Amino acid sequence: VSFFELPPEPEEDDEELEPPRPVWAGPASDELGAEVPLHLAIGESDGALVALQSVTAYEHGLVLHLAARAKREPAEPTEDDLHSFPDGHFDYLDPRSPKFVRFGVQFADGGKATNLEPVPSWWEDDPPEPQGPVLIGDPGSGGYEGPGTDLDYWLWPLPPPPGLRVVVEWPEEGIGESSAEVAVAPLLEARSRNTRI
Amino acid sequence: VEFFQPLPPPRPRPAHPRRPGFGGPWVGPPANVLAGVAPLRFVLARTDTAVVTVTEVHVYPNGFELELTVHTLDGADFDGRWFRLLHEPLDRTGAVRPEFLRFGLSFADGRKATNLDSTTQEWLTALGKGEPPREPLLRLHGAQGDGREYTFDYWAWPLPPPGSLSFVCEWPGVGVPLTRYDVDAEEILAASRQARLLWGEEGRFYRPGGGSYVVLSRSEPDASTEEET
Repeated sequence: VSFFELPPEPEEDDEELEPPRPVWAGPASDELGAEVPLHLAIGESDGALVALQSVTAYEHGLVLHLAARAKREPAEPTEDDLHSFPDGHFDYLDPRSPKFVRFGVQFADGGKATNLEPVPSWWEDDPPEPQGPVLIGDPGSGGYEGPGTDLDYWLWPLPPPPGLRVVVEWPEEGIGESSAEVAVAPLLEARSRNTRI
Repeated sequence: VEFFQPLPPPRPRPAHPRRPGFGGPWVGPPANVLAGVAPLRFVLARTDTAVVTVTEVHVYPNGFELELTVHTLDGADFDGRWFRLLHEPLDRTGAVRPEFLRFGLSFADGRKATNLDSTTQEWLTALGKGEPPREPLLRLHGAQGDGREYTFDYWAWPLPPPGSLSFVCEWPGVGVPLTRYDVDAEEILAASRQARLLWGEEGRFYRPGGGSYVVLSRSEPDASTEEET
């Protein structure tokens, strides 16, 4: 018997370990989507801005691309900051923190969803289809003290015409509850440009 | 002597996310501007095994960012080696590898930039010295992915002139011939007009890649403002 035994051939069915994602939990993996620029400032204070930069339209839902930006040069980090994160660095990920960028939508038929609600657990076996609209978010790619945070939210289902109300609040930056209306028809029409990979 | 030696104390690093820099508006997007978004999201090339897409075209007053993504299709025999080769354009003889995904932009005035430009010493030397590039620039500012898809983050400088802007790729190793996708440069130029200054002066704060940014002095570069090595 050799000292070194070669490992067995890898199993080929790794992909089947991932349950298929239900249509309400995100775009299909073969959809590229269609981009609709908006550049819509939803909430703004002297020191900060939250804007709906664009929407990517898919067959069964939308991805809303938000930019939260402080209107100031980032603070100078200390030497310690370079070796460990300062206390409270991740507060912007905590919905109870004033640093968290609160975001929500209201449909013309009254349906509502916010990023303060827990996300339905779509990854479990055979999850029930949610009743109302859902927002499933990316907690943000940039840190709070950096140039800002980009927030992408998947919204399901497609909102009914005529308008989608988008609402933000960012207490830490002095942005109180603020909202703007987005025309739904151009978003639905954009889906004709949705490409399949 | 212990088997696992304690780590030496960390080397002191400059405590600045920003550092004095040299160069000009070609080095990267401004750090103090919120980009405009162009309505571009398209398939650049497609074979039985892979699809190449362009998305996330974010535009600034001085240039634009884009994401070039390779999507492998079901059953495609891509592995880590393939993705490694996407970062190694040249083989040992100096020839461009067939596995390397060639990508470039072609402007209406005939000028172009490709991801092979950075393989020339002249290009690297000029950029290292902070000299203005003579031709448009396409710089890789990041890349990430997994076994199924892989994304390159490119910075393109300058903004294209009005007219047609072509996104061009060729990938011999995967059977993609020279392929062009033309858009109206106005799609990019209109997005640049939506870019918004957030703080500070225009034209001094740039992100040449990574998390830090540079502050350009308004005078000519000298030894005291050169980048640390």
